[in-house]
Amino acid sequence: MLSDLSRLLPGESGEPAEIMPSPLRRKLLELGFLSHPRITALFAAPTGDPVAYALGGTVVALRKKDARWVRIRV
Amino acid sequence: MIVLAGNPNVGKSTLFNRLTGLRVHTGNWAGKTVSLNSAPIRSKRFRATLIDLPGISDLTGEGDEEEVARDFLAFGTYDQILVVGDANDPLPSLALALAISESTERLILALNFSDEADPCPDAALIRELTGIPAVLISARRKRGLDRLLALLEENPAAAPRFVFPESVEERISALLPLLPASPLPPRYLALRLLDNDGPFLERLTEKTGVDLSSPALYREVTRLLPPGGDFREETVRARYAFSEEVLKRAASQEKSPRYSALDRLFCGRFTAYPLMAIALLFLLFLTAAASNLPSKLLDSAFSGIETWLTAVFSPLSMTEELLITGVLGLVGRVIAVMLPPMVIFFSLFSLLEDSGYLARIAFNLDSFFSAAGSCGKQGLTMCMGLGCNVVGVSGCRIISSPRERAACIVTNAMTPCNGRFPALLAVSGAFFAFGSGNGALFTGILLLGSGVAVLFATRFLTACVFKGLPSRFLLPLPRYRKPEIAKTLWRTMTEKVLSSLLRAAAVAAPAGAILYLLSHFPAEGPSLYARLTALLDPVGRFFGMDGVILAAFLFGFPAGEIVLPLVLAGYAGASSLPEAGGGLFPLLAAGGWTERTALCFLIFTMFHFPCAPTLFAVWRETKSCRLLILSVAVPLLSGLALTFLAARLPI
Repeated sequence: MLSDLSRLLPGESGEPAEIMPSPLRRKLLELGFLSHPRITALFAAPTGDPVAYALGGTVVALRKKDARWVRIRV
Repeated sequence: MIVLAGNPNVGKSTLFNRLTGLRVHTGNWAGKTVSLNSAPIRSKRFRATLIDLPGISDLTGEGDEEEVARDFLAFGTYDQILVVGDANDPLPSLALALAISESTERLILALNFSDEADPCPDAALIRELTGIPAVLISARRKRGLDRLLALLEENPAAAPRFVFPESVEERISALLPLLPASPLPPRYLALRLLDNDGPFLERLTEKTGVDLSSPALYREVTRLLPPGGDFREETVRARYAFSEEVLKRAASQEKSPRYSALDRLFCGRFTAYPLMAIALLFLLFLTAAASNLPSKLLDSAFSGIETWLTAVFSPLSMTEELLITGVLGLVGRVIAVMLPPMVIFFSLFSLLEDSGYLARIAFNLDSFFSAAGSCGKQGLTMCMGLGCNVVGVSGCRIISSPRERAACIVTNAMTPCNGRFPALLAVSGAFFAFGSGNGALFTGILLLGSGVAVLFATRFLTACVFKGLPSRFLLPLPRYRKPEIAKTLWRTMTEKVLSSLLRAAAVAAPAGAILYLLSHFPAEGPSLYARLTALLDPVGRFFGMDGVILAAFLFGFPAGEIVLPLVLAGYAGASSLPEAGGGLFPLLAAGGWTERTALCFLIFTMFHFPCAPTLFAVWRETKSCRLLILSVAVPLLSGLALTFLAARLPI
């Protein structure tokens, strides 16, 4: 099922499918948001946004509105 | 010349310091504000200079730092590139190394933190599989550095084994015969063309004179790239897929990060903000407490020198007195009050930075700043501003998005720095102690107020003035790490403290001379300084203060530290700066201060024009007159508006 990164709850993970055209697309691509086999939502900030995602061995925080651009298969 | 490149947070600076022994020279590259450190490598066997590039996550980076790094890699002259990576997470570094190997064959991959990595990838196997020489090191534990130096000395040519999928390779081959001669590898040019990397092609023409904008090439590129396809995505994916395959075979199992206990604590819903507040208060309290004594010692040392010089040259000529009492007096005072708190504050701050906690603070604060049109990193630059606005303004480099960066630079001086803190505390204590005996509580309220003001000003700037500039937020959260105290202290001194201090002293010297002249001329009747305060008096009264206070702010332009002493001197009619301390309340009350005056003074202390070194930093960082003017106007107008209101509101 296709979904997007912002809908992952902490602890859930998905397999990245594509990144929609957006200002962050380039940056996300190069950080490996499409190349890593799985992305896991680790934890959210105290206010619920942004969320920290684990890709391979690195952790990157993204705002929900930006995470929406990353389509994933869950 | 050897270039040090790598992703952020892989311990590049530590390695740089280990290889060079800290003999750092900082210089600028091609007119950008990003400074590059370079130093000779410490080795008996060969001579080379090491240049430390800013951290890059990839070769298409936006923002000054990444651009500088990318330009340097493509057009700079060097013998070798040392790509530093993290042995815990070698995938991005390996992909980066593959991308770099497209433009040069002289590169070495060094995987750092090999002492922490478990299991650790096999460097020999990586070299065999990729054709790129690789070595495992631990810069902090000084492991593997001999092997690395030997490899640097040997300077082997990489023989990259990596090829793109056939569809990509076919397109590259189709372009190769059409390319003009150039100092860069044709394969690399073909990739950039297919990538439609406009800025790169412009820089290429500018730097090497090679022009790739011929119609024939353009037609061919358009033919090769069907519309809708994303060539960059294809290449990035291919590099990552290859790297992953290599790492799998090099027996490196990625240890995936988990939601650690520390993150549960520092980013937890109920614990995050109280812990941040405690950390900040602790930072401020420790700075205030620990810098008291060294400040006093420095101050008495400087007055000792002053007395000694006076005795030696006595009787003093006019010029000698001007130099000794005026210039040396003020410079000594500025150094005495500025140096100790800055050293202590920024050392503690750097320790927090190295531990990985600062990134979490930016993470926790992001939603608030996001509401103001900015990002969580502004919280960090504001914290740096608490130490010194000069450092705060330079610190805005960490913000890559141009809109947010401009707003953060302009509003930074609205966060009261260490230089203004003592005045806030002392006046709060004298007028708004609320029976507690000190002004800590009221100063805390003022700090919160300044935070809110910064958010409002940022909201205004991002919505009205900087509208249209692009904005984005991506924040890597590094692993928690035990900071290294000695290294941190050194870095703090060289990178942050010394330059700010020198600049402040440079401004204080002429200001001291002017102040001395104004307060000693003419010999008969009221001095020029007294006449100036009388002239400013009606303006001051309009904003709930008086002429003495305004004059003190004007002459506090070189450093905010001297404003309160100047106020006291103004009331005492004394020509030199009196000793701080003692009963402040009677002195100020004698000058006609009420609680309202005190409140207006406090507000104006927080929000007025930035000090001279800060404005200099704004100019150095932005080279923009518009931002310079805004940096003065935004805090000054906020301060005037607030004092105007505070002077009139019925309380």
